[in-house]
Amino acid sequence: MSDEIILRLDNISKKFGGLVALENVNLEVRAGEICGLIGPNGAGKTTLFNVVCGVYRPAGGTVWFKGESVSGLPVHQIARRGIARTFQVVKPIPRLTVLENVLIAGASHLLAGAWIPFTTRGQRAVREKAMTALIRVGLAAEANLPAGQLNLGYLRRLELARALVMNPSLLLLDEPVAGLGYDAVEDFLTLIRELRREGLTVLLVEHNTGVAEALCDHMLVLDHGKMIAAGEPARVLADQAVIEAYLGKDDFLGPSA
Amino acid sequence: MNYWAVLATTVGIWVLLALSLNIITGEAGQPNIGHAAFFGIGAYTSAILNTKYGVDFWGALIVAIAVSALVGAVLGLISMRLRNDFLAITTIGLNFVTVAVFQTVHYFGGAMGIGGIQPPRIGGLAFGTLEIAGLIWVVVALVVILNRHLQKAWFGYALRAIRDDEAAAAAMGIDVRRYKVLAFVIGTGLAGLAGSIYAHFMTFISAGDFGFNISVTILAMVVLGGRGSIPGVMLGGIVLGMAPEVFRFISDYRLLVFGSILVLVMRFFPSGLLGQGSRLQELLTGFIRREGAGARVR
Amino acid sequence: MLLQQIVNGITIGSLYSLVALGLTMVYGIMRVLDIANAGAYTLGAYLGVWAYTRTHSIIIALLAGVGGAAITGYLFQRAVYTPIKKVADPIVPLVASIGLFIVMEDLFRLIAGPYTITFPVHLPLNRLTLGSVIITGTQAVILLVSAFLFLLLWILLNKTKIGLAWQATAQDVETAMAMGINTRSVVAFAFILGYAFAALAGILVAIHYNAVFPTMGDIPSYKMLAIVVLGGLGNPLGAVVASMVVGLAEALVAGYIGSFLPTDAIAFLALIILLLVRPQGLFASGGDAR
Repeated sequence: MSDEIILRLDNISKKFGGLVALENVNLEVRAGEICGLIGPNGAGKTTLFNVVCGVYRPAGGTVWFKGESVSGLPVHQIARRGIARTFQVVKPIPRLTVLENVLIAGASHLLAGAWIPFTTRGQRAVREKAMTALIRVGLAAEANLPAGQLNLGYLRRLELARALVMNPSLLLLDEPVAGLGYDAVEDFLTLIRELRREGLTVLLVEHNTGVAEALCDHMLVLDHGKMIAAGEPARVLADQAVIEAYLGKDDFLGPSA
Repeated sequence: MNYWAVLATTVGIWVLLALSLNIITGEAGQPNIGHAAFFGIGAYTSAILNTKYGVDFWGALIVAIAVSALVGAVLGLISMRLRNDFLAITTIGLNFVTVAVFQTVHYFGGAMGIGGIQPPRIGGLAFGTLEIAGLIWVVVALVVILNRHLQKAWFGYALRAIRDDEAAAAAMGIDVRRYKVLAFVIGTGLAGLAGSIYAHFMTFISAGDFGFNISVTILAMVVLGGRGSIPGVMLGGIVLGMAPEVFRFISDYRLLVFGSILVLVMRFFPSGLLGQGSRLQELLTGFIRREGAGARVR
Repeated sequence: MLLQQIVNGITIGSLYSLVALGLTMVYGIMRVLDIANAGAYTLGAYLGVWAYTRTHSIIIALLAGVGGAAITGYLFQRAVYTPIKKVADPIVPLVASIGLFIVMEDLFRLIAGPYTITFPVHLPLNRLTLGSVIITGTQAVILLVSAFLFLLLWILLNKTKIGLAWQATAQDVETAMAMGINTRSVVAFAFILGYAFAALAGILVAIHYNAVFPTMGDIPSYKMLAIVVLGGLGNPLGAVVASMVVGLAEALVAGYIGSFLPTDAIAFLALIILLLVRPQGLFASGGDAR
């Protein structure tokens, strides 16, 4: 783990109508770490996530990515700069094959190649890159199936491959194990740990504190749009304010899966 | 001979219109129920340049494509701001307003339309019906080749990604706005091309040729044939384009049959006859291995 | 003169709003742009005139038209829209509704003939003269019936369980499902009411102009789309206000500016301009599609 700060959120605020969704949130993600963003439902986790990706423009504050401000940039430009994401509700392109799904993401920065069929020799490098990503997440055998035919566990892997093929400097995972069975959760967590060991930086949004504790080096707790705790997982989860925020929510005690 | 050449030209224009709408509605998934407006804009641009300013067919053709594509680009930019349903209605509105303008503004010939449009010519040779039929099918062939090429390129995949999920497309680094507008520009430009050829083929045009029912017919060709499928929309264009001839014996029930087909196909084959994931398509792929080299396995 | 145009505009606007309400009711619950709703408008007029020439009772004519259209709406919903709705692409139900509309119009033509038939109702009402403003008997009936129906709809939507369920669903389908609202019966309610309203408008128009013909639904079918968007798709109050605005605009343009464009293009021109300025419509939409 280096000391380089990949992502820095500076006093981020966001309002919807009169409703304050985020209030002066600060966050730093260092290269090579897995940073967790947790909190009860409606705490503003996904909103913050969408601010980082460019889906929402922050009402106040700045998003710094590798030393440059990316607030207000359109989603696709932020993606091309190296912030890749997955979705909580998976979004495959169902009528394309698994490989084609990854090809789109893998070639999105090759502007000159937009008009050249993937089947030509010049595009071989892109195909190989996409295949490598599929092998990495264990989907090589499914490469030629329509994405719409995969089950949820495979779709979550597909989204991961789609993100990895973009060579991201920062990977945003939005509740990546939601809806998965116990074994699938374990496999997926192992995969993410391996990726971290290979040097990937991850910002994880997680509702389930058990999953977050198992993965994160560092975490931040949001409640009602405000940061209520930050630091090492064990310390944060023992914090009285965090326990109170989660109180009455049955998912506090470890993975519900 | 002449009868068949006229039929071939008419069907060719329908097929070109269906292919052009397919890029917008079939591939990029943007509803456009006013496509005849662009067909009309192309035809009127070409007709006015030819009859009022003495521009020959080839020059008028280029300008007609450009003007249609420009209006299409504006619609594409508007589409970024509108929900799908609003866009559908806006395109209907565009069709009605365009026809109303053609019909009432004197410059566009008003209710009388525009006559005396010269047929295309090369050197001293004026095109007859046969040559125009040849021209339109050459254009169709070129469009199909180009379209197939684009479908296999990143551009084609980007459009399909936008069609299925804009948020996912943007997250994958696709500039949704750029490719939506490009789809509109290409599709409406081709409709303008069809309009220009139509004007110089008919030599007389009026606003009624580009009404909302024409838009519905083009849409029906795309939707019945199968959104996104080139063979599908060509089949749709050929079948519905020839229908008035073939079904002459039931001409009194033509609309009834047309409407019933629309309802039944949407009810039982919502992807169209040859669309991706349609039952017919699944049956066919069971017997025929498609040549598709590389990544395209359906 | 101005007052007269305003009265004429409100009359037209009332008729528009009856059809627009039907469309917006269906859209609110199903997110379907139901062009076939305008077929119910023509159907109502034909059934009404058929019943009237046999019974000479306007009440029976109304019941026949409205009842027949309501049944048709229910059948369309069960046989076509609900099964199709499982397909994600919204163009599928839209094309199906265009198909249904074409079939209905052609059936009217084949069964009743391509010509215009009269609707010879003699309402026992004198024309009202208020200063320079003349309100004809049928205009008065249209205004009264519309006012009554707006009130009825308001009560249905705000005081009955099914109406409240409609509102909840129109605002957010998923929440409504989570709340355990039986969407099946709410969908049927919307279609039955929507088609009944359209039929009533058709009968009133037929009486107003003393004419019934197969293509009388053409103009309403597409103009109503513009109106319901102006009013915010799935927003009943917005639909009524937008109908009045368009009705007044048409009457005033026809009365003062003359025909620089056919009146039927005015609604769409207004719509396009409005959408450029306010992409979400004149009023916030009840719908949450996309």
